[in-house]
Formats: sequence, structure tokens, C-alpha cells
Amino acid sequence: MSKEKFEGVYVYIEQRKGVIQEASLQLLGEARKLAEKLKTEVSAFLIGYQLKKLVKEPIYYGADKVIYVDNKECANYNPEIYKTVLVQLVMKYKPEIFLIAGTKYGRELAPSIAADLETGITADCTAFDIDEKGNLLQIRPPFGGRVHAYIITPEKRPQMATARPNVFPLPERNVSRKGEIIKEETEVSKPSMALIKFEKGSEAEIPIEKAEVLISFGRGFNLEDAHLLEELCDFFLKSSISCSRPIVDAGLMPRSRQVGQTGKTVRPKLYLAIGISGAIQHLAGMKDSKFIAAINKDPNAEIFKFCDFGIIGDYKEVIPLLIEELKKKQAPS
Amino acid sequence: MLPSRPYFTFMPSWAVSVFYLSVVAALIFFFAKMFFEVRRYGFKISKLKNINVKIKNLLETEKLLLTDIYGGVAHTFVAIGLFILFLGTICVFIEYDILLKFFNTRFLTGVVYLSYEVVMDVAGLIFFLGVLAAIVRRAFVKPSRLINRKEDAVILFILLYGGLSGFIMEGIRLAIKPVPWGSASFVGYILSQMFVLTGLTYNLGCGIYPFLWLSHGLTLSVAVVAFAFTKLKHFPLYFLGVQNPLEKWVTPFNLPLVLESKKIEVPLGVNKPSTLSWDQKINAEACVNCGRCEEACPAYRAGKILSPRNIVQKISFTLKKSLNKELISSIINEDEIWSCTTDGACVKACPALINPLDYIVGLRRYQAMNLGKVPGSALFNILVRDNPYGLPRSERIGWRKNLDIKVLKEGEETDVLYWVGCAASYDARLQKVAQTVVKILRKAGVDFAVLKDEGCCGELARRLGDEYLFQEIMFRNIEKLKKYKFRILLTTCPHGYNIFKNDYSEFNGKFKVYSHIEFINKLLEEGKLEIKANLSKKVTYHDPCYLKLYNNLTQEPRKILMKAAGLKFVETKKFYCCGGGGGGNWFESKGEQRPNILRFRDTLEVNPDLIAVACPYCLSMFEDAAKTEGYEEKVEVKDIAEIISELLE
Amino acid sequence: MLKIIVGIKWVPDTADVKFDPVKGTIIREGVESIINPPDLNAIELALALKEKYGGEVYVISMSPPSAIKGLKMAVAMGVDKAFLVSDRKFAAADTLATSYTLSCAIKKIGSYDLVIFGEETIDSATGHIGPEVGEMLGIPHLSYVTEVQEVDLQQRTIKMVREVEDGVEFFQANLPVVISVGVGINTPRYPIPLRRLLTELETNKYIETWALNDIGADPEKVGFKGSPTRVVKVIAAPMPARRLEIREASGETVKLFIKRLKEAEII
Repeated sequence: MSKEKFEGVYVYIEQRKGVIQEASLQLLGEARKLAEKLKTEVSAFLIGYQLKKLVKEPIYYGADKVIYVDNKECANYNPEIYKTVLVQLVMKYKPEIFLIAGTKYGRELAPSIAADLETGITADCTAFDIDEKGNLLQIRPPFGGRVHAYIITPEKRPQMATARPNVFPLPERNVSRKGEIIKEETEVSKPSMALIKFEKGSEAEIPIEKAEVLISFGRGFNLEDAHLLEELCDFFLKSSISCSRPIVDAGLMPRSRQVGQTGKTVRPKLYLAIGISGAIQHLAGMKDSKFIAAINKDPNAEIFKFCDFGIIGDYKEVIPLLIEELKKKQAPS
Repeated sequence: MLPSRPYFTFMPSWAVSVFYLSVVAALIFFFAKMFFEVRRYGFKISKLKNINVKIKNLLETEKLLLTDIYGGVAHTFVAIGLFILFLGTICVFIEYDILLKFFNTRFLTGVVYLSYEVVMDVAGLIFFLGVLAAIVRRAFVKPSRLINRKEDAVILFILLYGGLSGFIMEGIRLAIKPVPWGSASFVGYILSQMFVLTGLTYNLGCGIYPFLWLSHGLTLSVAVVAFAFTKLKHFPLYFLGVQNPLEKWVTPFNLPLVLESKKIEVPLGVNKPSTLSWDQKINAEACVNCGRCEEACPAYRAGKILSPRNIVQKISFTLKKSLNKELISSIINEDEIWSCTTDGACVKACPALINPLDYIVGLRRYQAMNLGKVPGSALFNILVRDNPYGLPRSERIGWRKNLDIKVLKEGEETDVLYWVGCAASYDARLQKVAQTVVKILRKAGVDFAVLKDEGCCGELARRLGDEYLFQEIMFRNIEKLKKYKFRILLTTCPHGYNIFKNDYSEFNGKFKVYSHIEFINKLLEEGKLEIKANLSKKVTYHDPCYLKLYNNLTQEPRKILMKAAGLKFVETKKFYCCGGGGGGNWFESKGEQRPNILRFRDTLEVNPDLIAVACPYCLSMFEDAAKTEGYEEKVEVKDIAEIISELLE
Repeated sequence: MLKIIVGIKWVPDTADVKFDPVKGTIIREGVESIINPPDLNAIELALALKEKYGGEVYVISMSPPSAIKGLKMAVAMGVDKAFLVSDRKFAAADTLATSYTLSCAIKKIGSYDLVIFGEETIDSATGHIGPEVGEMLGIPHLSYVTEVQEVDLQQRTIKMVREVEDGVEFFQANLPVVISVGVGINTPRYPIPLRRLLTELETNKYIETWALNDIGADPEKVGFKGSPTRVVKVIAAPMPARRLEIREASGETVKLFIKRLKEAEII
């Protein structure tokens, strides 16, 4: 197949249980910009079951065309089925560029589609552009984000990439936008892998090593203010409370909640250290956290040398402010 | 009439025969038992070394016993009394059974005999008092480390009866058949006077005496047997169980040899009694269950499952039953061996020169080497990133950024090569100690440098039983260090100090190693450093185990602190490990309390403003304890180097 | 009997990798390599399953010969055999070419029930290999697996649990399957020193090296030639490893903090 036959920028719009994932809508904005440079259209692929309410949404966010598959077999995400469907769509519509939001589903789905189509794929892009030859420039941060690599797929089509969520701004929803909506039927054979159960993330106590957000406290925190921690915790899915060694030694928390060399090693997305000075034994247990934030009265605390965001101040003032802001964020949705 | 020793007064000849038979039987029993037992443990006469040292050490051992006054005095009385009584019996044997029978001559006559009687009565009295004291101690005083078993009661009864019957016999003899020199046997004489007063008749005396005599004689035979079958065997075994470090491993492990021969003998370490070296087996058998090791153990003190006494006792117990029983899990719990801080206090405390640590590390070696069972992630971290913290290799030099320290190039020379160690390289608090040492070295005008590629020293791997990792690291380090020319290898970490000094040298890695404390003291004594101010704080000092117990390095830190603080330097009354050694800094073993907290409380007894330490682990352990106990603001914890550095200005 | 293949990568310890802003290159000199961390979890999972169901665990790695050090460590952990898939022609492969090469090697091993990969590597962090290999082998693939609940050797099915953003999913699949696992799902065991030593002494007994011809791969589909993507340039990222954004407490600071959390996809 010559690459000239491939045209248009396509975005896979991911929906879960009837809710379109914001990360894929964010990509529509970026797709728009690329399409303008290439003087082509933006299209969206949408897969699911009973999608009527959703099909226009991609148009509102900037798509010119929505191609959707509405099939009972597609009610829940199944990597095998979704891949088969998307491959059929790609074969039919031949996109020049095919972007997928880098959610967990997206990061799983995209490479299997690329492998099936034997085309190139770039993961977790944080920026896109078009080079002088009209190739998609895929910019991504390997080596733990220390560098930015510029990648192209010169020969194979479609040019596929996943994009890191929340990097691109969400385009404005414009209900007056019009576009074409196409319903596609695709063949879905019985998968050899099936989802048998789904458990929504519960708010019950999660072991600290499994938590995605850890609110951790040390000796600089008075347990009389424990309610602050709990309130804070409630804002995050899969969050939990942990602590440093002196707290456990003083018998205030069970050993299972201790982060550090002699406690547990944790790798949450967010590690919020409150009143923790940051002894090396402690850092050793949380050094691989994705985002480390710290609240501490002491500006010289070691933790401030090893965090992404540090707030110098009394937690008694900072946490209530934080809670207030988080409430504001939550209100619209 | 010339005073001389009477033989078999009032004794029918059958009783004498019974006595002789019993002695011969006892001796046969004793030697047969000892022979088969030590042969079972792999002892050969050719392995008997350093016997003179052992004999010399006997006195040292008794001195060690006397650190517990009551028990020590009791033991010394019994031991010395018994020893003299034994010599006395030998004298009698020589005179009666050899000299009189074959040469018709004797020597226990006149003044010699009278002196003999005095000495024997004194010895008997000492022995008897010792036994009485021991009985009172076990029955009424009951120190917590003593566990009373039937065996103890039986032994004490035998000893008591032996002593008592001897004196009563002498008393009866002197009462019914007085001699003019009777008062030389002063105890017997006093008793005889009492018997006379209570109206002991000649006939009654003659009637009782043979039975008393025979029972006394049989007690002697029983005692001889007891020396082979009961815990009394600690005495003969003491002379056999020679500590010979080269024979510690049943299957020795030397990495270059293994790599060259491509052969590994398994198992590595100790799993069954058969995998103990012969002297480890004999030593285990020599344990009398006195519990001194337990009393000195920081893990036991903190309520952990480990007691070194139990380890040795369990091994000794298993040893008797089978040489092929697995020790770990059914007999010794895994947690026991991992609770050990390898401080070595138990080794120092054992009067029988048993090394409980040696068993523990041996057991750890088996678990680690053959099964890969080691607690915590520190060793994995060392394997992957060459430091127990698991922090990036590139961050090792973080402590010396902006310090402009000479980094030794290959072939380059320096007087002092400073080996910083992982703790002082990576830990933000401990980095300050390394930085202070640099400041002091500069102040004293010392020519020093650091390595560009320092790494782990292997100490932790060795203590946790991964001998492969240790030797891998050690041979790499030896090779590395030999590329550079330096006179002194300076360390801030006593664990590194000890491993370089004592363990590397086992494998021909001989370096002139100095602890920073030793070196600072040297600089002060040579006048290269001068203390210009006095410490105004009350300071106490916590000895690191790896300086005090492993290397007897106790004077230097005290000299420095006396110079710095004078009378404000006070000694902490007890000594225990901080809990940081042997892996304690790297994983938590189960226990009621934390050793560092207990140790911190020890130092608080003298109300210090400042606790001086000389080891990075101790520093972390104490700071941690101070925080937990709420003394963060009240008591400072500092390395001696940090204290001195402030006084040099 | 469960036959498990674990794919691992020997990666430079990214924590030590520096970037030369002048030359625009990554400085790998003197940087030690390590087994990609989640791959250790993959090995641990495989060994735990072997303990439970019996069977064999093989490790494969497409790497330069220096990776043998990593394979030795895998063997020391308890893996039965390791295969180093190494050929100059494999150089400069992107994820597609790598997955193709690995799938050829897996086919060469023959029968297998389960293939496990670490979710992503610390150097390139794409998470592609698992899904791509699954596709190339023509068997289902599941990423983010946290637990294998049960393997039914009679029915030849497997029950798996995985975590996604909004909850926990339970899947059942027919064997064989490919799964990817992340760091932290288990604690990798310590490589047994004795086994480490044995691997050192008898490397050939435990580790086999396969070149292009050995795995019967199409030379057009491997290495640089077989890679549809090209790296045009690499530049230093403006952000340090930790951002170290330290602010005095205030309403503005808290707002900024929330903004950063949003950027980092935490809220």
C-alpha cells in the first residue's frame, strides 16, 4: 500500500461505561492543529454499546467526522475485541495519523493495533508537530524525562502515537459544530479472553504499596489533626495514609503503614509528605514515587531537596487551603 | 609417734574393693564417653593446639566469671577447692598405691602431712562454702539468667554430699580415735569435738564410718562420671575446643579457588550439626547454660526472640541426638538468627570461650548462600547499585560536591586514603560527618585523597551470610586499592574499619587501617591539632561494638573526650549495642522493644547534654531514638569528629 | 506443568545517565546496567507460579552480549534457562522490530503457556513490547496485571486481576497469554548466591545465545531495517529529575500546587 492513499488525522475516542475520557477529547485539539497544517480533516473512532448520546460529542470538541461501532460485544472494553474492531476501521479508512490517548487502555490497545498493521508507534508523546516532509513529529520524554526524543515514522502508515493525558488542553465544547456521523458494522468473533468482573475502586483502606496517592506524615505532624489527613485522602481515588518510622516506633501507627528502608517501599503517583524531615531511610522507601510533594515548617528540611513541589509552612494552614481548592475543583463535575 | 596419714581405718576389706572397682569403672566410663564423644565430633589429637594458651586463659576466664561477684565467687571456690582436693587425692594415690605398695616408703608424714591436712581442710571448706553458695543462689537468689534443671540439682547434691561426707567422716574418725595432731584437720577437729559432746560412742562411730566412707568414695566415682556426662564436662572440653578460625568452615569457601577449580563444595554454611566444625561442636557441648551471653545480648534485652544461650543450647541438644537434623525452622527459628546485631557481646561474655555469633553467622550463611533467604532489600541493593540504600551510584559523590577534594588517580600517591563508606556518602546527616573529617584533615595539614570509584566494602554481605557477594566485593576492592599508593586507609565507619582490618587480611588484603577516632587522637597527640576551646556540655560516649568489642579500641575516644570536656565527660554505666549492626540498620526484626531506644535510655541515666558516638549506624540509631523518645531538643547526638571540629577554632 | 517465558531488558541505570547539553547526547559512559526493574517482578511472578503449579521458567532478552550479566542474575533467582537473543543486525531496533525479534525467539522455544513482560522499561518507557508480542504470537495480551489468581491446567485457562484508573478488572483467558506487570506487584526474591556462582562457573549450561539465523527471523524485519520509526533528534529535557519547586505557604502556592498535580495527571 502506498502511503499516499492514507489521509486524515484520526483520534480514538475512548469511552468507559458511557463516559468519554477527557484525555481523548484533549487529543482532538491537537489533532485539529495537525490537520490544519496538513490541510486535512479530523476524524474520530468511537467504539462501544448504546452510544447514541455520545456520538456527537467528538464533533463538539473539534472532530469533522465520527465513525462509530455500536455492538453489544463492545459494551465493555476488551483488548482483543477493541483491537480487532479498530484494525478493521483503520484498514477501511486509512488514516495518515492515528492518535490514541495514553490511558491504561490506550497504552495497551495502541501497540497491539500497530503490531497488527506492522506500522510504527510512539508512546506517551507530550507534543506533536509536522516536519517539512509532512511527517508527524512525535515528541516524547524517555530516560525518566531527562531528555526529549523527536521521532518520525517516515514510510509506514498510519503514523501512530499515544499521548500522555492532561498535557494538551481540553478544547472548548461547541454544540453548534456540525459534522458527519457514520455508523460502522464490524465483525467481532468470540474472544479468547473475557472480562468476568469489574470492581469500582473502593474507598476502603488500601495497602500503602498499592495506593496511587499516599498522604504520609512524620514527627512534624500532630495526630490530633488526623481528620485533616482523612479529608485530604477522600479527594483521591486509591489513596491511603502512611507514615515515617518514628511514628511507628512510638506505637501510633502499625508497621504496615511505615514507608522507608525498614518499612515498605512505595511508588505512588503522588507522595505527599507532611511533617516528614526526609531522612535517607525514608527517602529510600519512596524515591520512585512519580510526584513527590512536601509540606514542612522547616525550610532546611532534607525533603525539600528531594521533591517536585514543596510548601514551606504549617500544615495546619496549608491542608485546609488545599482541601478548599480541591473542593472547588470537584464541584463542576 | 610421727604424724602420718591413716589408711582405711575401720574399713572392712570388701568395702575397699568396692571402692577400687568403682573408681576403675568410673574412669573407664569417663574416658570412654569423652573419647567417643569427641571422636564423633571429629576431634583428633593432632588438632589439639594452643593448650598452653588455654591453660593461661583459665585465669582470665575465672576473672571474667568474677564480673558477677556472687556466681563468680561460688564458681571459683568450687573450682579451686575441687582442684586442690583432686590434687590431694592424687597425692594419696601416689603414696598408698605406688610408694607404699611397691617401694615401701611414704611422704605424707610429719610436717608435710600436717600441712597437707591443713591445706585439704581449707580446700574442703572453700569447696563446701562454694557449693553452699551455689545452692543458695539457685534455690533462693535465682538470678534471672539461671534456668534450674534437674541436672543442676543432681550435680550440686553430689558435690554437697562429697564435701559434707568427707568432713563428717574426718570428724567421726577424730572423735572415736583421737590423735595428738588432730587439730591440724581443723574442720574435722571441730566436728569431732561436737560429736564427742553429743556423746558419740566408739561402737556407733565404728558402725557408721565404713558406710560413710564408702558413700564418700562412691561419690567420688560418680563425680568422675559426671565430668563426662553432665554439664561438668565443660571443664575437660574447655581444653579440647580450640578456637581455630581457619577451621571454622566445614566446607570452606574461597572465591578465587572456587572460580579456578570450578568446583563448589556444598552446603555452604551451617544447616545440620554435621556442618559445624569439630571445635564448634565441642564448644556447644561445653556450654553450661549460664546465660551470661544472654545477659549481654542487645536483641534479647529488647525482647526479641533471640538468645545466644538458647542457640548454643539448642545446638548442643540436637548434637547429642543426631548430627543430621535440620537446625533451622524446627529447632531454631529463622527470626532468631536474623535478630542478631553481630555486636559480639555474647562472645566476650562467655567464660567457656564459646562463640555463639559463629553459629549464628554460620546458620545465616546457609540460609543466604544456598537458599537466597536474606531479610530486607539491602543486599539486593548492593548487588544492583553497590550500596545498601539502593540509591544511584552517581549520587555517591554527592557529599563532596564543592569540597574540591583530591581524587586519587591510578598510580598517584597520597599519605592517607579516606574510605568514606556508604552511610557517610549517601545519608544527608552522615555526610556532615564525612565533611567534618575532611575539615579536620585539612586543618592538620594531612595529605589525603578519596577514590573516584569507591563502593560497598562488603561488611553487610558478610554479616548477613552472603559470603559470595562479600568476597566478590572484597577481592574487587583489594585489587582496586592495590592500584594506588597510600600509607594509611582511613575510615569513618567502624564496620568498614573492622572488615578492612580483620576480614580483608584473612584473604591477604593487608592495609594499615585507621579509624577516624584513632587518627584524630594521633593528630592531637602529635600536636598537629590543638583543642582551643572547652566543651561546655555534659557529654557521654557510646562505644561502637566494632571498635570496642571487635578491636578493643576504647582508650582513644576517651582520651579525646577528656581533652575536650574534662570532668564534663561522664561514662554511661552499662554497655550494649545500639542495635544497628548485623543488618539491624537495614531491616526490622520482631521484638517488644527497639535496642536503640533502650540504649538511648542507658545514656540518659547520666543526664548528658550531648551523646558522642563514633559510628554512622550509632548516630542514626541514637538520633532516631532521641526523636522517638521526644529528646530531639534536649539531647544532641554527634560524632566525636564533629565535637572536636568545633573546638579547634 | 506450566511453561513460562519472561522477557527482560538489560537497561542502563537511568538514574546515573546524564545528558550532554552541548553535544546533545546521552552520556552512558561508566553507567552500569541493571535488569529493568518491573522485569524483576515479572520473574518473581513466574517463579511463584512455577512453585505453585510446577513447570519451567525461561527468560529471554534481546540485548547486546553484555546483558549476559543480567541473565545470570535471572538464573540465580531461580529461572531454569535463559536465552540471549543477540545479533548485530538487531541493533537500533524500535519497539516493533524488537517485538518481532522476541516473538521469533519465543516461537523458537516452542511450547509455552504464559509470557510475562515488565510493563515498561526505565529507559524508553513505551509499554509496547507486551501487546506487540502478544499480537505477533497471535494470542491475547493483558497489561497492568497485578495478580494471577488461578491457572487451570486441565481447562487451560487463567484468571488474572489488573488495575486500571477507575477500578479493578478480572479477566479469564485461554492459555497461552501474554501479560505485562508493573513494579511493586510483588517483592522480587534475592538471587541465590550459590546459583549465581553456578551460573558463573557453567554459564553455557544455563544461558544460550541465539543469533538472527537461530531464531529464523526475517532480516528485513529486525533491527534498524525493520523499524518503522526513526529518532530524528534527542534534546535535553528542561526538567530535572525532581522539579524542586519550593514555595512559601500561601493561597497562590496551593493553587499552583493543584495545577502541578493536574499536569502530572494526579487529579
